[in-house]
Amino acid sequence: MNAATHLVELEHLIVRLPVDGGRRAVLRGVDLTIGVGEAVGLVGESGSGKSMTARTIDRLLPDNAVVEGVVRFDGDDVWSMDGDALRRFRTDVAMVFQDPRAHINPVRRIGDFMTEAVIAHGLMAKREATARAIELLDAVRIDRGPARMRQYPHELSGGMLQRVMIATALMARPRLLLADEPTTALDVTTQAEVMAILDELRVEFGLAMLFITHDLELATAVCNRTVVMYAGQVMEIGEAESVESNPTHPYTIALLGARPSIAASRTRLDAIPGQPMSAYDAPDDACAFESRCKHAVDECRAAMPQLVAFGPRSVRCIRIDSPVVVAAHD
Amino acid sequence: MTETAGATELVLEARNLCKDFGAHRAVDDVSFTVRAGRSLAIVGESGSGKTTVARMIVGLERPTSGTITACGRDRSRPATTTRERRRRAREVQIVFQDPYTSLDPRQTIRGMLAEIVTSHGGAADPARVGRLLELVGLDHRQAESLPRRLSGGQRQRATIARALAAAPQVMILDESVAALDVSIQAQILNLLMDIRDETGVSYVLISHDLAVVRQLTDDVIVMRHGQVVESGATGDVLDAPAHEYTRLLRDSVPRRGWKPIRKEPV
Amino acid sequence: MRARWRALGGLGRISALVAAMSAVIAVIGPLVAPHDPDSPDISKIWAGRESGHLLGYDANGRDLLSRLLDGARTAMVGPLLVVAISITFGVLIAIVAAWRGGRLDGLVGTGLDIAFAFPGILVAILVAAIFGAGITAAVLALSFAYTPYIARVVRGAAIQERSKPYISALEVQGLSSISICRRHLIPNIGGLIVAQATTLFGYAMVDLAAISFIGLGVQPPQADWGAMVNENLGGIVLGHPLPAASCGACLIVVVVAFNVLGERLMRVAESSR
Repeated sequence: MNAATHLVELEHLIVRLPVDGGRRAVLRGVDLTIGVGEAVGLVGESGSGKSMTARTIDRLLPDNAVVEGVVRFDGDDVWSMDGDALRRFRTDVAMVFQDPRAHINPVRRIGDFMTEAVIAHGLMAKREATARAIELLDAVRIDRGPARMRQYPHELSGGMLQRVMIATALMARPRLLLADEPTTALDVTTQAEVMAILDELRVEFGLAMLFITHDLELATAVCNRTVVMYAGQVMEIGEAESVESNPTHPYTIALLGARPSIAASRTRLDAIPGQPMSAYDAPDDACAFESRCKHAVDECRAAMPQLVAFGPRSVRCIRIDSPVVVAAHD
Repeated sequence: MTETAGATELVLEARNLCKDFGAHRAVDDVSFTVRAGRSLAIVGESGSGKTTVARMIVGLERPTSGTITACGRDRSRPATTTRERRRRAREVQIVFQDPYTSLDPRQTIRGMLAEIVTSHGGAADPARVGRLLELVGLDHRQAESLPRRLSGGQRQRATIARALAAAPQVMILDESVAALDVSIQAQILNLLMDIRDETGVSYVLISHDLAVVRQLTDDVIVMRHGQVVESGATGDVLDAPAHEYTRLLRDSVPRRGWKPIRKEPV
Repeated sequence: MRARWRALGGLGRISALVAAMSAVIAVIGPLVAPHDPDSPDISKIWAGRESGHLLGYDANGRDLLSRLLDGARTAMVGPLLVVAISITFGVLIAIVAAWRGGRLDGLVGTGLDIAFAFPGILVAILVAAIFGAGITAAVLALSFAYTPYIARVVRGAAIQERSKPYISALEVQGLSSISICRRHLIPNIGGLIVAQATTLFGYAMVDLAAISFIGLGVQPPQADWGAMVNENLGGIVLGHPLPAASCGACLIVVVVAFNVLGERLMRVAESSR
């Protein structure tokens, strides 16, 4: 796939934020791409930088953040956009957050919330916006659309409100959806429903998606490719099902091994010792995962490993040095 | 599992528990037993009433009707004397979900444990505090820290140590690993299993996470809208659920080869 | 402690220093006054500055500086007592209501709403009318008026704190309610209580000064900034504004210092929650 066909390109993205007086890197050289209509899962624990990556794509960082490297959307540099280009970008990219109640105005009706942005940006007149809102409420499988439009947020459950957020995100016909742990705060049955709807709509509208989660199996279910992040860097990228069944990076393997299984209990879980490393604590001249890795050797401390591609799979680990090893891991 | 007569006593029993909040019945005729050496899971989603049941067991809520018995003694009504309160504390303890608000922000871990150990009788015993810290894997530096200097996993270890200070027979784990990162969750689950091996404590795990339930418990009850819809051995219920809600729960858990299912519009 | 000092900000730190200085003056003022604050000299009425009398004389020929220094103590002891009484009872009521919750809390809430309807000064005037003027009556009246205010603010914070799981964990451990409130609940809202007390001091100072100004508080010849503004009021039209103005200025400086300090402490308390 040549560069021009990617919808989103992140090239060696470094983001620094003022922390405790100094400037620390919360993203330490992130490289990834999202193709048109492609769903990419971004998986990681606390401090991995997954949320930060989405915010950087959407230009949602505080003013005092320092951004190095490039974020390209449809070939254009996002961080140097202004005026009309920026306005178009804001309708092309939509974001859905973890807690719907924190992002919706409790004293406005659902209908007003859903239509106000597109009306304010002059994209649609009120009647058209209302019609589209009702259409989208139906698409997210909320019935009695017109009645719902007149309700207030507190009258809807968490799951329903999240579906409203998804519908709202789709109002301006975006090309990219950034979903930051959209189902983490929901019950597991509600999560399954919301994910099914999201998946359906994404395919129907040809939407690209960056799906952020801590749950690798959930990402596999709805994404084409999975990106595993640790300490502000990308550790592994590959086709979603392949990464899940054939993890290569020691961190990915450890993550999958640490999780209990619904099918059987084990005498002991393969817990990774220590804490997840925050991006801003990570060293620049060694592997960030080395201290917790059971395959670490002295060379791991000598230099920062590079992200190496083996066909469709990329891994940042010096112990993985050939496609044969990648294929053999099972 | 077959029972040898008299070999396994009931450490916890609930019979026909009900709790009303005004007109809303949050817990509706819930019954279960926990035998010594076995652990029970109470599974449900939000609004199922599982947390209310947990709170009633430890005395933070008062049942509207029904009985709760722990270690042979009834605890359906609030304790009236200090002695009774302390005795109940030594029977059942609880570990909450949020490590960030489960500790007094102004106390060091060691200070917190010393206070608890003292309250259970006897002078401040540094040796006992030391043993508790060792049991949960907290080192000297962490023990001298205030909670804000500790990670979520370390704080949760501290709250487990606090619960163990009373040497309880039953420990309620109210979504105690739900707020932790996957790798830390695994550490804490291993810790809980080690503690169980060493002390023989019975866990009552309140959770919506079926994989954790499978890992940690022998028996399970499934709650929905305040009622028990299914109960049995954990393995049996999760492998071959009898009730359709249990089936729905199980089928909603992401795993290899899983795809999200659709339902009718609401 | 040092982090708290830093968190106050420039204005907060200045206010803290001024407040501390005024407390020092309140203690040592009467001891370092150069002249007897109570001995009038008819020949010196409204007299201006002279050697040994830095600020001149007041309406009764008394050394102004000495009277200001002497009045500081009276001006600040009253508010201190008001704060002590209303904080004690206000916190007590708030904690009991927040801890028990339910109907008791509902009753207390309603009671507070009613008590809130009584402005401090009017209560003080009423009490003076019934029991006669004097500083004791004024202090008690203001304490009664301020207690519900403290109780309401503290109750809100106490309810929030009480709902945290660490409090529940202590209950399940079998600790007594009193033990938990004393060792855990109150210390964790302590910052807020101190901040409220500080602001309250400023308000009490104004109210007591006003009560003394209208003659119902501190009685002459006792020096008191509020009363002294009244005593020296005549001087303004006679071309001698300094006595009245200096008393007013002292009041303003100290009250503003305590109010600003209280405000900043409140911000620090809220940000650490």
